Amino acid sequence: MTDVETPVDDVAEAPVAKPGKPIAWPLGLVGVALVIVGSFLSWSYDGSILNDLSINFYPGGLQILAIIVAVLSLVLLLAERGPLTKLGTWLDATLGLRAFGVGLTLYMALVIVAISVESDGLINVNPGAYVTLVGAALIAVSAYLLPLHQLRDMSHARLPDWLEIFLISAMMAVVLFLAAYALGLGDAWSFILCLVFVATGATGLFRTGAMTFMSHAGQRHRKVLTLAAFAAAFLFPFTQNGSDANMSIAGSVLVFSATAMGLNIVVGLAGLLDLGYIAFLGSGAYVAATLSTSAFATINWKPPFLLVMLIGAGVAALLGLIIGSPTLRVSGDYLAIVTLGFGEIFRFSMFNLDGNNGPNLTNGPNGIPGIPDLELFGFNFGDAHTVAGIELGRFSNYYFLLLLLLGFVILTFARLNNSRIGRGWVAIREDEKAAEAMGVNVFGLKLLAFAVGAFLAGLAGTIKAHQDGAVSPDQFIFLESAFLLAAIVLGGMGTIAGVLLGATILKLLPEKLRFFSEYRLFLFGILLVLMMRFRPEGLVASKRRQLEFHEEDEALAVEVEEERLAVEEAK
Amino acid sequence: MHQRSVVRVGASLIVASLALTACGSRSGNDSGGNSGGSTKTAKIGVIAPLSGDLSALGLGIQHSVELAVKQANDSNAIPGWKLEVDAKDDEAKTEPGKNAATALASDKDVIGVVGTLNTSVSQQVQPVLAPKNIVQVSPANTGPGLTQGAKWQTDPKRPYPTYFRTCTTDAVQGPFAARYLYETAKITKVATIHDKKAYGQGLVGTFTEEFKKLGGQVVSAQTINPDDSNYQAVISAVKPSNPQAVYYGGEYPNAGPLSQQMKAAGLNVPLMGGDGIFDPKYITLAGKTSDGDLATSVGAPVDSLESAKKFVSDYNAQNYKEPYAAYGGYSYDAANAIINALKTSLKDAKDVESARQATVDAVGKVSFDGVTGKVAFDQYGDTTSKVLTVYKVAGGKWATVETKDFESK
Amino acid sequence: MDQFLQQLVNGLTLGSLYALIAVGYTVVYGIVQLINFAHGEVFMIGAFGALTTYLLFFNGKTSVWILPVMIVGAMIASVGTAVAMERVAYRPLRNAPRLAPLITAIGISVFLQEFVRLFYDQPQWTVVVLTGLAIGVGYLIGGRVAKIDLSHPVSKWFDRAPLLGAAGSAVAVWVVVRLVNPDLNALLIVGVVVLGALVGTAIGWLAGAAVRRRARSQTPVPAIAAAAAGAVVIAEVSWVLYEKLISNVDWPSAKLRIPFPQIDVVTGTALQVGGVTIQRSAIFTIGALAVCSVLLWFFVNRTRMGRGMQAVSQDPDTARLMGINVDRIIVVAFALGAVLAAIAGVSQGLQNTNIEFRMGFLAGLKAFTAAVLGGIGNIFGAVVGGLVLGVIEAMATQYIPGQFGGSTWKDVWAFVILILVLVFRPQGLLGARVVDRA
Repeated sequence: MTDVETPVDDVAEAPVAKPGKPIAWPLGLVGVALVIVGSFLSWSYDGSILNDLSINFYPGGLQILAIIVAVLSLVLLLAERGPLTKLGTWLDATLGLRAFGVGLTLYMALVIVAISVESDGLINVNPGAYVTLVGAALIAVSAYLLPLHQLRDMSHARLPDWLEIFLISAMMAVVLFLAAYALGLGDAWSFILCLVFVATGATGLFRTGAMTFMSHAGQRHRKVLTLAAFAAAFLFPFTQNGSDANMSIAGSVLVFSATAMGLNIVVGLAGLLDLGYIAFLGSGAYVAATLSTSAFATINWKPPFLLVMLIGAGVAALLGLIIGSPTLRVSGDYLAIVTLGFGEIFRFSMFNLDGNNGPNLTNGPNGIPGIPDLELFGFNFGDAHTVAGIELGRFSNYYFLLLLLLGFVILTFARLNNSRIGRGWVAIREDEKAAEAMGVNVFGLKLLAFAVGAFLAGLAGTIKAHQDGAVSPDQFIFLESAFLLAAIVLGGMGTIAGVLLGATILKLLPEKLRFFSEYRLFLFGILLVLMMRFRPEGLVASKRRQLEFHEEDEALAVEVEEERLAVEEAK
Repeated sequence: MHQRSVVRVGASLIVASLALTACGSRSGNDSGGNSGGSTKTAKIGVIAPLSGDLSALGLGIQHSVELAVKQANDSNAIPGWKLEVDAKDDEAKTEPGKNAATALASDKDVIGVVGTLNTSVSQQVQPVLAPKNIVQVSPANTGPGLTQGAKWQTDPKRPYPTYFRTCTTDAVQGPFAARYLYETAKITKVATIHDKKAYGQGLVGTFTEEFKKLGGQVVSAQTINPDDSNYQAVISAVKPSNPQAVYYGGEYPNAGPLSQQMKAAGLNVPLMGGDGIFDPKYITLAGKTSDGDLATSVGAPVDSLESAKKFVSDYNAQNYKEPYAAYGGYSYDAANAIINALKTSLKDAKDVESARQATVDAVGKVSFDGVTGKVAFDQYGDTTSKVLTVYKVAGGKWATVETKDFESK
Repeated sequence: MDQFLQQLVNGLTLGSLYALIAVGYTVVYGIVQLINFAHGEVFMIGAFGALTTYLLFFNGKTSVWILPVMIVGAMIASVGTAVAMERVAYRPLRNAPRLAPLITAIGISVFLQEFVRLFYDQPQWTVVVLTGLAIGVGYLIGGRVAKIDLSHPVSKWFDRAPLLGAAGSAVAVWVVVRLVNPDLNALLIVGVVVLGALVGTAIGWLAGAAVRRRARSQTPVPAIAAAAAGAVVIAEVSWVLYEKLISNVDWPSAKLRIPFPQIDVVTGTALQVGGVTIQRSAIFTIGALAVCSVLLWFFVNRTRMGRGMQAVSQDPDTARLMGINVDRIIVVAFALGAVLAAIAGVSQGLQNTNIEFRMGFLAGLKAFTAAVLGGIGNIFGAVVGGLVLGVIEAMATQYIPGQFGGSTWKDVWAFVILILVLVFRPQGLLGARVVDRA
């Protein structure tokens, strides 16, 4: 037994200083050079696939992406040793390079696979691609041989104010630019490769600590950040060159995000498991449909849309109160099932109230089609309008309205979060009995959570009815509630950014990855299981939540405590 | 929560926008198939249930349209143009149907659509296709309101000038069944059941009206939920009123089990339905006790018509996996109605979009001999032929009982 | 009066179904405080398991002696699913906050539905599963023969490396050979077994040599050979089974409703007792419930395992101190629920004459309502709750006047009852039996 080594945990990416090998840096340079050269050569013999990667010295989109990663790697290498070493004391070049190297290698491997699959044969892959692959592998290898340094604390990093604001805006502009680019991508492989590129870039930037810096900078210039983000989102339709195809998807994403944010209040802040949330969206949509001027609308009163919005939201809030009052006394698991039951009752009611089994309110299983476009203050949402020379179609109009709605919802969320009410919700979520003992009005706050969440969902529903042009009971099945809940959990419960991220991913990927459409739900189920097993706090986790799920992690606990103290001091 | 999340707003909106970008245009930027040659492409869309319970009917529709398009391409029916089929699945549900229509409507190359199967789905599809002037010819929708408006009984008005159909409507099918039951089968007491969808409810409505007019009695009127599999409750409600037959408005995935459970529970009377139950799958689901069940369907049996024999042999020669089912002939005629119209409208057209209005006008004027008889449309878009057939289950198969031309009394 | 009795019979039939499924919910909740959302899918898989057994062995026949075999097939399918579910998804989340197991359960529910829908008519996945199984069983055989400690917390993966390497490479060889030549002649079968065993042993031995410094125990060569041989034999046997049995059946597509085989004595014309029609399948269901209730009573009260379950549901920590293997009890709880759900699945198939992949969702929700109605955690509460719920549902469809009566609203009543129960009498009719986690 004496010659058995105790296995040492040497996998830690410890920010402890570690010497590197001298060959690493030149190797990295060679790698970067190879990547750039290889990207200028042609990658594929066939020019009709993947947006034409077959012309020498005229890089196509995917090749440019590779070049971008190479340039970023070059910057990091120079930060390691060279003119940019001052930057290197702040940014962790080695970790960033590892991310870039591995990511780029994966990217190139996928490129080669894509080319072979699309053009039926490995033979169609030109040497340029292999050169780039080798270059990428060299970058990765060199990164693993580079030294690790002790870095300066990023929270002390400061740049002149104007520069920070500029960087924030530039970041948003880059996002928009990337968005406009990826629009031109027609096929699934390009999209996947683009995703890999994004993942590589994001991971690399996170690993270097650049994002942490942006994080702090954003903290300091919060208003600029929010404004820039909204400006980017606002300008998005203008990048579409008059095409409306993607705007309808964008509109659905916004509706979904707004609804998810409403659910975030109920589940994320107040901790009330609601599995029937789709009913609130549905009630808003049905109210708008029945009060619209559709041929199938069942009520003869046609009020103006703003009033309809309020009525729809009000009905939803009322429903929330009705659902909330008897059930809020029950505990978490039961609440989930009861709300599920309510969601199903809603669906059955919409299905049945067609004159046969109840008064004709909803036109039964056929739904209410033919809902006309909105017309607010003379602005008809159905017509295309030309602004600054760019044509904005029907869906773009709804996009702007929904953006306003989303902004309102996020604002509500943020303000409530930072108020007494929000803190009361957090107290209830953590320990109901203790909160009650401390004088928190548990029942009232829970009811408020339900009502507010329902109100916001109802608002979203009224616009959804007009955007979709029809409502039917099929749209409001339990699976939609599951998707909403999954969006929140996947993204990160209780955070704004996380929920937006989760909602976008869950709504967008199925639309984009059409060839998976058959397996969509299958993969969704697996995703849920894997997610809860390996990262239950979501992608963008609030540290407290992460601690909840990883109770034994001492290092994390220390980190959370330090962060809290730092925030306290900053105030 | 504090620091991270606000910044993460930025990060996430980045990724959000990136994700949005990753949309990629399906049909937006690259218009389909311009290989730079001299032939242009026009697409005929198909919206039908290609998966799920009614896929037997939907796939028959799709393949029949594919056959018509293939024959048109092979014979170069429209010089300078090549036709393609773009089939979308509506799962027999309203929501996917609307999405399918939206996808086709935003495709610049779509000149016409054959579909849908279900009346309730068409109600969602019409308002999407009509504003884009895309002609829609349905081989199977039987709800009268689709061509004559919601108030079709008192004040018929055509809601969408782009919509046509090659099959007759329930305004004819219901009374046809009522007459058969009352006059030929001498049944005076009937119970009705429907699945609340536009088709079933409409069919039962017209049936009931005619049956009562003839002097019959509807002893029980019930509804079921189509997602349900257990019909004991409904059967127990109907049984005490002792009907001599049960008239069902709806489709075979429900009708089959209903028939079997009905007979097993002791309500041993024939079940009669409309074209929605006329499919071999009905007999599979209804089991051995289904002998004696009845159905009506639009048109004469495809196998019996002279005009259809060529269609049948051509269809079988293509070796499609699924048979043409109840609506194959009608779909073939619908596709050919569009193709005939395209002969005039695409002749001098520059691109597909500008030819759409001309196509709509031309479809309204077509008149030719199709598989199911003469194909022509009246001022509402309804077909001019009103032939219907009664079928009965005998020995595990549907057998023809009688074919008649329906004269309104 | 006749109508009343008729609806009573209908209600009891429905209720028996709910009761059989509800036991599964209540037992699991009582022990691990988890609402097993996916239990409805276990019920559905039981029905499909019965159908599969029928299609594999008895296609076309209707003799009543097929029924027990179908029930056994159903049980194997549902117990396998439930135990796998517990092992893979729920056990790692035992101590996580409430939300995690709930979402996992939803995920599993969706996954199972889609799995059946997509892959039921394409049985190739069984080959993949059996290959994995072959590796697992080979490894276990090797472990048995070697009699060494394979779960040392630090070095366990190094200890296991030789055996896993042997089993894995043997199966890899088998896969390669079979991809090249899928025939079934005797020479090839023997050849591939021998080849696989030899290569597996070699690679296993090499793996053992590679990790010798890190591993704590030496795996003897016979064990390695046993692992390799066992793995490749099982792979080969399953391949033969697949070729001879599974791929010869024309599997119906699960995307539509599939007609369920009608077995002689339990289906067919109904019996008339006075003015009341009693379906044969109804008699089967109610009879099955009665038999199962009696067996359940014996199991819970008179066997060690049953008393262990009672102990764990009262206080798992003390039970552990008393020497009860809590993990095993939990697995037994899942399996118990699955067995009853399988029987329910067969009943539903016989009654409705068709099955589909969606049938588990609503039935599961109503069964949970039944469990809550009777008192969650209380097994006999589940039975009583199920029967009561069924009767109420039947009566409501008959006697509620006007437009809100009739069968289209029948599914709503279950949820209304759930809400009423949770508001006015959360402990249910017979009292809840849940661990007090204060």
